Amino acid sequence: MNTKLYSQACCSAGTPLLGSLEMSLNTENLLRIGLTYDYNLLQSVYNGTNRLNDNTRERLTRSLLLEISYGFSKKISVSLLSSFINQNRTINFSQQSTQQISVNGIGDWLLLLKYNIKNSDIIDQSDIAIGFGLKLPTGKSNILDKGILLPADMQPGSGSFDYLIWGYYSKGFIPYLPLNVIANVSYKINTTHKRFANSKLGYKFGNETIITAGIGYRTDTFLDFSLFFRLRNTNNDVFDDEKIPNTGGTWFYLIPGLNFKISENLTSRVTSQLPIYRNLIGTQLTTTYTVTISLFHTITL
Amino acid sequence: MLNKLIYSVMFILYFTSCDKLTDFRSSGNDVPSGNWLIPTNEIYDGGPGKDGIPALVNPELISDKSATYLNDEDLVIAIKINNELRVYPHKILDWHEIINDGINSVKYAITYCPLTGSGIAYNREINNLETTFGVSGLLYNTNLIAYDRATNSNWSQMKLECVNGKLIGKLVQTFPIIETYWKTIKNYFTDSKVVSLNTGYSRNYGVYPYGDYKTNNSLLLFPVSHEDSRLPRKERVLGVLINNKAKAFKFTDNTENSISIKQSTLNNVNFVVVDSKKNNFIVAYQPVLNNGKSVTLKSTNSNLPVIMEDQFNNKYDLFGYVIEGLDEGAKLKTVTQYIAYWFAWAAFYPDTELE
Repeated sequence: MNTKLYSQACCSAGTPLLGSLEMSLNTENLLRIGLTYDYNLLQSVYNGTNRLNDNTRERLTRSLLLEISYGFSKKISVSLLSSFINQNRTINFSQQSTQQISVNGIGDWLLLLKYNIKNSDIIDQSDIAIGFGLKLPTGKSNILDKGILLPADMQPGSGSFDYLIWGYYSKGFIPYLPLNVIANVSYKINTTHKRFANSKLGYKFGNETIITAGIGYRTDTFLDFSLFFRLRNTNNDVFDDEKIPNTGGTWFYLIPGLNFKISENLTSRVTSQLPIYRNLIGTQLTTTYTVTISLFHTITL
Repeated sequence: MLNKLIYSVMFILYFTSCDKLTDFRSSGNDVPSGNWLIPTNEIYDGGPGKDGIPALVNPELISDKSATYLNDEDLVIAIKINNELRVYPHKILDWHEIINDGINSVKYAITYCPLTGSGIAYNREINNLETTFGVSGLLYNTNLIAYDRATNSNWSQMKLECVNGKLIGKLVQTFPIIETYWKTIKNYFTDSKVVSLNTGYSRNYGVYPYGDYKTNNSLLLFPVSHEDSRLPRKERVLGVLINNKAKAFKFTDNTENSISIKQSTLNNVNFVVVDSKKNNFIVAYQPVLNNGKSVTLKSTNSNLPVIMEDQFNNKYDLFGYVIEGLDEGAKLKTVTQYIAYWFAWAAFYPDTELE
């Protein structure tokens, strides 16, 4: 998520739907329920690749995401991701003046249909899958503060129907190595929504690409490890067919993770998303770090 | 047991949650509420929030010779009070929008909205009480809404009026300013003081923060209530306001180093509009000196800083002062005026005349 800081305009909404999609395939007849808490702190101000020395503003997005996935067959599965969002904006103008506003609400829902092109077997431990998704504008995007419309990035929802193209690749090396190499690509095509009553063509968040690649390392204990790199790119937002300045950019993250096997059908995961490179369009407040805690429960139906 | 707990948490969260907004303020300021003089559905939160764009107070000043960060064709706002001239570059105003300053006993705030291109000097003394102005983070007709820190009232910059709060309905008193190229000030006025880059904030002052906004006539960041296609949206015009009547003036299209003078009338008040595209200034004056003497203003053969003269051979500078002649030191009466992008002027004053 990125937030415009110093100039007046809108910015990317903060729901981490794409980045939160579980990077795995669904086994046939297996229902998987995941509950994720995502803490995204934005205190870093960047102009292009340069960090500016400013600590007057802070944004915090806390999301609770519920993902329900089910494998209908070896080939076809579906995932539904819903969200509950809390957005906070704090401005520390001086020691005497702190302004804070907080918004809660149900966010947007994402429905993803996955198709396994190739399933892993003993000879070739690789999985390839593609998916197509639809993001539904279930979250409010018109919350007012004393009758005044809050900016788009403070709204729980984006207000638009968006489309998702998803790809997945995994390769295992058992018995030689207890690890998997995993790669995942998501591309979200956003559509326009009529944010302002008296605008002609409306507002459109910039399309978003996320490429994640890394390894999952299994141990014989209750603890597994993962390490991923993530490249995220968003285009400029668009208003009435014109690009909005100070929106969009490119981020490169390191994502270390720990996976805990609590029981046969219950696992937990803790990850952190640490930005190691940012190149933002214009000047923006951007993610300092995120922490994600998840709990997954599987049920064979 | 654990599974039940998980499902219970999910159930509670998803079926009892609702959209909710909470404000916290620890500044002693009230949350803007109550009546507005402008439609609230046309006011937008620009994103940064209140004071997210930090206004400056008593900025550090440097000499014109030291202002090497300015290029010749950078736009600046200049104010001249008595014999002191101060310069407020767009390069800084683009990032801060308001600079609270003063010369001797005259306390003013240079307010500048980068989205409407409007620069106006507000009197900081309201009801005999000195205040400072801050950036509310709200926009009306894509234009700055400032707030005064004494009462937390909100002021629509281009409307020149308090539109919400204790002072609702109060009109602002403005001071005359000139918006022009830095080279016009630097070359013809000595010993000006310029706001330093040492503002106390880390900003990329060398970079305009809005991409191609200044030149892209298709781009607005927020909608406006009224559009007028007589001119391109981003053309800079001088707007004049006299008793609720509005008139806008284009720059005269001359390519020579000439200064144009137009005689004009609005609401039975006569004034002249003097402009030069080459030197990038446009300003309006009434043909009356502050000593009460009526004059006939006409073009001059003299060079800048003289922009016009009168029948008494008084020569006037850009700020309306007589700098040579019988009435040296006297000053022309002005009218309420400011430069803005055409789209914004037309949105605020849909019945405006255009010359």
